[in-house]
Amino acid sequence: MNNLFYILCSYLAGLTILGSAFLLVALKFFKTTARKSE
Amino acid sequence: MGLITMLVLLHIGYLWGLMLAPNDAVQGNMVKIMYLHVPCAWLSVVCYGLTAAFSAIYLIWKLPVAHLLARSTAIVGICFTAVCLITGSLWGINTWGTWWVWDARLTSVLVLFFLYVGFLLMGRAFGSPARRASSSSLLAVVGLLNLPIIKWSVTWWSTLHQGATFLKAGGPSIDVRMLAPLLICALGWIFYALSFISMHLYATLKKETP
Repeated sequence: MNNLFYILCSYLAGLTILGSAFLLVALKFFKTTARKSE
Repeated sequence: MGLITMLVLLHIGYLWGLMLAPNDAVQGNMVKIMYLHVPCAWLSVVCYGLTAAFSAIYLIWKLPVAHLLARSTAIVGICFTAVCLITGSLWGINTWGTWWVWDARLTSVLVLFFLYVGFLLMGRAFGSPARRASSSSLLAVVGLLNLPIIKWSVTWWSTLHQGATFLKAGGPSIDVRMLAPLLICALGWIFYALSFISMHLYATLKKETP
């Protein structure tokens, strides 16, 4: 049970950092693409 | 295409690793952190190697795109390093009984994190854009010295961190039932890094060229 808490915390922290960084870059990419196609 | 490949590989790798792969004989299910910690650790080093290589190209041939590539690679690299340090701490508190020790492997990875921070901050810090790019590129190339220290820290010094289990003489000592999902996860994160770098580079190039 104790182990599960640490495993969940690491996946939550890791995926939050990597996921949010990816979303920010994807947003920047799509905004640039949309601006250029206008 | 890269995005779909990344999602498929990460789903297969994590479902296999977390659901089907066996637990460690000593650590039990704590070993499941490995499927995130180890690919991030590998990619933090690989991304730094690429950042330094692109920086060297910029310093030698003054190609602006090489510096932009180095910056894009450093941004994804710092994310991998941060995740490696955080997941390592969470693994450490449960198996070693401490969040942090100043052992050679942990300290050299922390130095890697600060090298990334230094490179990214210096690229925006002072002087003309060309001077900022040159000084940050020089820092990235000098910081390359840290990579062999990270790799062989567990061999050169007596560390709390375990020794090499994958890239070592005589082949990997990890069980193949754990190695297979680990490699699939690593491949998924490689596609993540490639998609990240290409999207960031494209956006930066389009922004800088009116």
